[in-house]
Amino acid sequence: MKATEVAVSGEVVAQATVRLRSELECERVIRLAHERGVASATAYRAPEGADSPIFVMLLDGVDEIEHFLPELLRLIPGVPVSVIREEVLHASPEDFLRGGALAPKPFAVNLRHAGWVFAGGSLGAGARIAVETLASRLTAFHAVFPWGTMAVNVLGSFAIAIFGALLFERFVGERERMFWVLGFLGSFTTFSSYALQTAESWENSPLLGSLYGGGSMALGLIAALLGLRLARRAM
Amino acid sequence: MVEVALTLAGAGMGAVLRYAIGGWVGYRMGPEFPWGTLIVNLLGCLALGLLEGAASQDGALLFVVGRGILAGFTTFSTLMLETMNLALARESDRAFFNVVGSLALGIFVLQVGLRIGRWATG
Repeated sequence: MKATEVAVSGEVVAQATVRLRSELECERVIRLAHERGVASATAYRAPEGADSPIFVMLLDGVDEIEHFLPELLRLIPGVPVSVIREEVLHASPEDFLRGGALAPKPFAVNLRHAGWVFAGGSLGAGARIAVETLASRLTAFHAVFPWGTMAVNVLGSFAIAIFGALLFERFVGERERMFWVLGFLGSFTTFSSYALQTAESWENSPLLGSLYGGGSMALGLIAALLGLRLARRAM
Repeated sequence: MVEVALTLAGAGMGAVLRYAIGGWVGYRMGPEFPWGTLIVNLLGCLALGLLEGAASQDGALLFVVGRGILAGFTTFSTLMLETMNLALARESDRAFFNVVGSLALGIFVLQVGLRIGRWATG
């Protein structure tokens, strides 16, 4: 590689090694580093006989690491950290220190993924239509206030938040995400029917219309918050 | 029975369209705001308005396209999760616009679709 191609040549980076006592500490450090956009954070199992069972290596610009370490020490007080500085000769990707390794990849439709989305989407719609049909048979009230659709939307918001939290911690693989999140839950819940029902309900009775429109949103948001909180507490 | 099978297959196709369009828009617009979901939901509302305006008497078509393809294409749960993530990241203006904007714009384009659909079919 020619020197002119290397954007970060000559830049000084800091590499911090953090020695940790448990996997829980390790998860907390990695999560914090991810949230703060540290260019690279990797945890390793220490060799047999080492003082601490796990160590984490953080790599970023000198300023970024200096800025990050106090927060890390507030999270886990007294943890031993050693920092070395190195001058960069080559880096790949070139924008590595500006979060290049974290940047989203260009979107491309993957046929296998599309298959999982299709399967999940069909099943999700089946479940939605079953709940709506049951609700409209149970009460005639469903025609003016579609509480079956509302229940589906709120329940789906709760479930997707649980998946969202698991996904953030990388406990859910791509296939599960495609089937359950983009497929099943995406199709189980619906926005177009919700908007139509809100408009129709409003024409019948502005009170019921706003209760349905605003109520779905409010309950959906509470359900999403509850799902996120529950999943994070369980982890 | 055929109607139900078509509706479920249609919803699967709608979900795949959402995956493709939402993913592409989301990548092009960047991660600051969930544009992918908003665009998908507005397109779905416009299409549902057109359908309801043009074919309000055709129950089978409304069922297959409205509650299959378009209901599977649009999504409520992703909108809620993305809004809550914005709110938790202290992006309250964006979170507020995402819910209120989605609903207001959604009903607006639905009405536009209804008018166009009625006008086109006389």
